[in-house]
Amino acid sequence: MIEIKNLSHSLGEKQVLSNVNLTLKEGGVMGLVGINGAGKSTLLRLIAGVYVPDAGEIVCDGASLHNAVARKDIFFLSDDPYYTISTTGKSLLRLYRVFYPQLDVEIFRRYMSEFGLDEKKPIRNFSKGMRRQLYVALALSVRPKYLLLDEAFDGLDPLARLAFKRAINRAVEEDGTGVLISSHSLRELEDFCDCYALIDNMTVADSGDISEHVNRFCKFQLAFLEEFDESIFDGFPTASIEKSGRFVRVVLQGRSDEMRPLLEALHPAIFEEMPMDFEEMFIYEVGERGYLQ
Amino acid sequence: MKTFGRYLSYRLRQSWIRTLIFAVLSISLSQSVIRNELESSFPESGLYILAIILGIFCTVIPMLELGEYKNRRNLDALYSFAISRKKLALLHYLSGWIQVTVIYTATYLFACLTLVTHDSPFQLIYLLPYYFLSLCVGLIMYSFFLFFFGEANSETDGVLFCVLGIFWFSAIVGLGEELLFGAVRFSRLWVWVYDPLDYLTSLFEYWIHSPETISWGAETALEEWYMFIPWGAIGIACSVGYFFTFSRKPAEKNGDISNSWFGYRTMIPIYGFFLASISLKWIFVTILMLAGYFIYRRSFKLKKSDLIVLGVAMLAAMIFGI
Repeated sequence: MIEIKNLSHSLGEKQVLSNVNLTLKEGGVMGLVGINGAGKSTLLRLIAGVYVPDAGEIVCDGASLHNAVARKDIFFLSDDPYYTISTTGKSLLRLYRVFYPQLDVEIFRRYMSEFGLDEKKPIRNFSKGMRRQLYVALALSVRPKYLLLDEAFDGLDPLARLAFKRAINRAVEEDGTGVLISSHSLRELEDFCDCYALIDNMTVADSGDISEHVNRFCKFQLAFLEEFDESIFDGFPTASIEKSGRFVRVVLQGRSDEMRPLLEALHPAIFEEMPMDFEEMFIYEVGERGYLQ
Repeated sequence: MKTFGRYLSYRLRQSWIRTLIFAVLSISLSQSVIRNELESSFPESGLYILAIILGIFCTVIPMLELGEYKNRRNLDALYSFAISRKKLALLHYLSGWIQVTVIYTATYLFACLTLVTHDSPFQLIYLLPYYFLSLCVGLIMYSFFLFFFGEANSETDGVLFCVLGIFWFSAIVGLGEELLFGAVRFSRLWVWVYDPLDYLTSLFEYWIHSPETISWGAETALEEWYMFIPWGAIGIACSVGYFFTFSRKPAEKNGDISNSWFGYRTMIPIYGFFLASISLKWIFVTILMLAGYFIYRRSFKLKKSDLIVLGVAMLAAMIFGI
């Protein structure tokens, strides 16, 4: 278990994280979400040991991550992974075997072949997505206890995304890997994360089970026989109202079984509940915080 | 310690082709120079070429060794590995020094072989102590460049810090002397970082060349032996400084403006002061200093403090120059 306790960090004069508390369990997949510049990458770098926190502590299975040895169980894949002019998949394999002696070459080669990558070719000639695929192969072949992924889906095509998600699920199920993954692709996160942490205003503003959280909002489509005014929803806990003629799509903050009778009382001609996803929930959540106009 | 050993071995294996190429180039160059010297009407040992080669690699290898730490992308991987920064600092110190030693030793051995197999009039026994002493002096230069390169936040700044840093320590002492006595005295004997090696090589060239010149050459050269004291101290200070900076420098500073006191911050005004007070070309030196500040700030917009420092340096140079 990785425990983040009262973590604070500044980049230069700017305070980026303040009093962050978070727990990542083994065998769980946590999505790290937040707007650009919220501090997601900084948090991942602090856990990985790239940055040293100004205050607070990060503990991995009882050992402080300030101690380098404790990092042996963690694999960090940054948004722009390491390579030099001469780096190839093969040379990366040699480098990572130094620090992760348990690295399974067979698994690495299996994923490389699955992604259609040549381990002898210089990485500098790879596209961003190919480089990411190579690193994903490396990360999975290390079979770390904890996997930190920054902007994990960036540059991956739909097929590669699918293969990536399957591979992560396999690592979680077979090895009990704990995954902390930051991404702006919330629909992708919803597919395979079981919990999330929202970084906002320098701290973990919200966290918990994704499905439970999505249920905090509900969306309905209604149609009325007569023209109507949006003011009919006054007093409702509305997150969003989109009116088009006699049709309206309304997102309410609250459980659907609680909201349904209230809306039915308006006697709409058509009344239909629509599914909410994590991305919509995120938009309403950050909208409430004043980021969206 | 297991990880340390494995990583050191990995680094050396990764750099062996580069080391081999450097060694072959050095051997070719030194052989060509030494053979030319031996075949001339007044044969010389050509020891200076060994010193030049050692000087070059003590300058270049630190930059190659630490170059990858000047890239934010690389730090994400290198600092996330299960190895402490103190150990990483030691590892790069050793890895770079091993490369320098291998290149220099190979060049030295081939040079010895050529000198021994030729019918030369030299006291070749002096080659042995020269090897060990030159390596000790080389370590001063190596630590010096490792420190100055490490102080920068980008590769370009690192190279400039190394180039400008060559005269930095004597410039600092010289500035003190100028302010105290109105002239440079002590520091003129140890102007740049290559001086100790130059001095050592000159001394051994006298000794190797001919027994007749020993007393004269040695007497003249030995007068300046004390330059090893400040340079030895500088070498130790640079090693300590390198370890301190490497283990404590925040990764997030990488790519930022290089704001070290061992860089542009002090180099621009001090060199500006000396250039202006010696050359008396105020406008030219002011333009040079401004160019320096533009490189330092990576912008044409300078801070008020930069302009104040520039003004003070020029004013001081005018007072001392005139």
